[in-house]
Amino acid sequence: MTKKILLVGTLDSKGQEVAYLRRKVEERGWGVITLDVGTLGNPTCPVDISQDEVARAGGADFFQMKSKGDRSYSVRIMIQGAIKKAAELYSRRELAGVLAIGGGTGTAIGTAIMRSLPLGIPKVMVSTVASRDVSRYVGTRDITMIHAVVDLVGLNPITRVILNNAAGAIVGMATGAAVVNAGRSLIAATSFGISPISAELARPLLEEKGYEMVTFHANGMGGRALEELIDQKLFAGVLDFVTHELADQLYNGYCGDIGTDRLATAARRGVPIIVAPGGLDCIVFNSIDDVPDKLKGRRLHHHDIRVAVRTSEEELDRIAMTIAQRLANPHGPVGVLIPLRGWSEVDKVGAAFFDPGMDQFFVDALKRLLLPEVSLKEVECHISDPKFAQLAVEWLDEMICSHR
Amino acid sequence: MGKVIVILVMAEEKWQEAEFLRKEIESRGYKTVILDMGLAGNPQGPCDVTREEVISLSGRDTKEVALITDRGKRMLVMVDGAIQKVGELYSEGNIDGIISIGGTTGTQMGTSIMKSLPFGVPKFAVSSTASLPGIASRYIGTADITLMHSVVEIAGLSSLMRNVLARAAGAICGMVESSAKVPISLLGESEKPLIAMTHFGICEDCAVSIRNQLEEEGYQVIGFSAAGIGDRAMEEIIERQNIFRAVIDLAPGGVGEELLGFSRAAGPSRLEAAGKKGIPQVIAPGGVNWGSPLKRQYKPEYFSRKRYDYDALRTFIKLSKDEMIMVADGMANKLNKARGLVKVLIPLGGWSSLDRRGTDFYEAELNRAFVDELKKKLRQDIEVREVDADFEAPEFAKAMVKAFHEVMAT
Repeated sequence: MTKKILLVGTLDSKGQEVAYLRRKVEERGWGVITLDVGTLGNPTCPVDISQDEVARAGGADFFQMKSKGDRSYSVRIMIQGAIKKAAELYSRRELAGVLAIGGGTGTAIGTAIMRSLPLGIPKVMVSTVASRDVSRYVGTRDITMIHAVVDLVGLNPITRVILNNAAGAIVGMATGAAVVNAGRSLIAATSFGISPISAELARPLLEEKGYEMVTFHANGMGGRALEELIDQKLFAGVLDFVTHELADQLYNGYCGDIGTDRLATAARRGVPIIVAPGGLDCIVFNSIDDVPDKLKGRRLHHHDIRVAVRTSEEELDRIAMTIAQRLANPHGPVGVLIPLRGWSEVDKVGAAFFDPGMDQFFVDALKRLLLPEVSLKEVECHISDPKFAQLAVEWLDEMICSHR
Repeated sequence: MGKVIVILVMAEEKWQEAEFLRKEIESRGYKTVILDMGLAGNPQGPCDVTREEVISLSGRDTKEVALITDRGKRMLVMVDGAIQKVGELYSEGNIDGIISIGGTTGTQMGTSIMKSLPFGVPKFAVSSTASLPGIASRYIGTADITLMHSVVEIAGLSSLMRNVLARAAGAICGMVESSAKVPISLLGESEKPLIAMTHFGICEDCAVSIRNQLEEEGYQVIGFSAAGIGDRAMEEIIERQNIFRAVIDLAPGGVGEELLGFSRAAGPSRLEAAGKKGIPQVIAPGGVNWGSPLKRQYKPEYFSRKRYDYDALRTFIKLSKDEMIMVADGMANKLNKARGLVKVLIPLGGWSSLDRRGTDFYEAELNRAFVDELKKKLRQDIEVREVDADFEAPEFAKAMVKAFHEVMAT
């Protein structure tokens, strides 16, 4: 076996732990390559890819870098260098997985390397900060975080248990890892808690036509992950049923941290996409305390602790403008499919947010703003109606077939 | 007997994925138990521990639970019942690892159930919401839970989902195999006596000197970061697992942070577990005179305090005299309940590397107010020893080690 586990750490401070991990991984029959991202002192265990080599790959001389005494600069260089080294291993097909260990800084470096690698390569980070806010570290990637519980200073019965588990986890993952096949048959769809079941209805219809469907939870992180994987050309088409994140982004709802790529990648990369207004009937806040005072007089829906606020004419107008802008540069087929009888489970006949008159402002605005090559179709039904899912699937299938 | 891995799932939604996981795990030679923590509706397929069994273990009956409309309350019932079941399996020796799959609800329940198992039993959560801002801390808390981001929604066995689940299965099996090699019985395994010690960046020199000295003497020192989670974990491990011979609490700032509502708050029972268990403690006020409120918690007057930007994420402010007295009072109340020996050491030359005597941050009268209050409120038999050195000076570390020997000798 030529593939090896890349083991990353600051070997000046965590040499003992890294040596222990190496032994535990090797005991189970896997080769290890250690990569030193330490910048403070000399490594305290054997190294395969040295500090010097990493710094050089990052575009700096190690000693010059160190003599600057600028910690954040050094960390940046080491991250760049380590990413290069990992990419080399990956392109030579020698990388079976990445295991890293660290505190705050070590976690920032380790996960930066992991985020640079494609989905499917096992990525395990043993971290003392796993139980804090990890969104910056994990982001949209398939990273596994192992909470170190105690400080990683020296081997003791507690750290040995944690490190052993980590060795077991990476070996177990690497042994089972299959490369993700980017089949032409994979379709991405978006879903959301209070909004439509369109994705679930679309699944059997897609499968009948020989596709597979992957769902993304459009809660901020899910939308970002979707865009990144579209960019990796993993999907033959996209059913973006739930665009609710855009409402949250524009009006500070809790799913709004989606960046400027949301909705734009498929069009830019020429991947066929159907866009629907799932969940645009509302802006959702984490709790009633987060709802701005000026919105408290609106129609509200209490989901659990989260609170949804009905969108207004003015807001829908701005959302329509954003959608039109993000679809403004299509390199492939783009369709907008609008159900005229409600956009979520709270927005249907008899429910609190049902207001087709209000929705019409949105449709009118879109008709005004969308490019002529983006076609818009209206359907006289609710978004969760089987008819809607069926139309979406058929339209997407046509696009894919004629686009090939 | 084969090793057993428990799979936690809401079977009305994600049974298919659990079944795939079961096959992956069993193909690696382990047994599985699928436990249904579903909230409503019928499971999509057979489970080894049914929803009905879980409900009855919680002491309720299915009809009663069907009437509960509040989802959160149903979750509590299921978590409660599942903890009973998992506890049973553990006491029979029939659980070697546990894995959950879910979105927000499933991961919340799954990790709550895992937390009932002791440290060292492999715990693995595959979650589509692992990366949401601020959520991981709720799932993991202080436990040794491993969290894997599924990236895609756990809905249907696409090739992406199968890839993620196969790796998760590999990971939990690998962990279980590893933990068979290094058994969890910490105390039995450890030939050296274990000492718990809290760490804080601005008191690190002292921690390093103490560690080196004690390890030379044959102790093993286990460090916990006093950032609000690590120190909380220390309290919980002391409370639940009898493994530490003594505690050196260099950085009990989590007590004041809790009282003042700041970001390093370490819970209402910080500084209490060792006392409750009668374990000897040596306490020092490392960084206790600094507070770390989040920027959005800033009151206008904080801007007029002495402040220090520690890194991009953290700014410390000096506590006021009133706050110092309040924190001293809070610490004294906790230490007064201790059943074991307690000594408090105070360095007169400043309480961290930032506020050494001679620097602008050194404010003797504030430190004095704290010490006076502490002495006034502490039980007579708890010694407060003043040392004429700063926190990071070798003399202070020496004084700490000496006090440690004294509490260990009695």
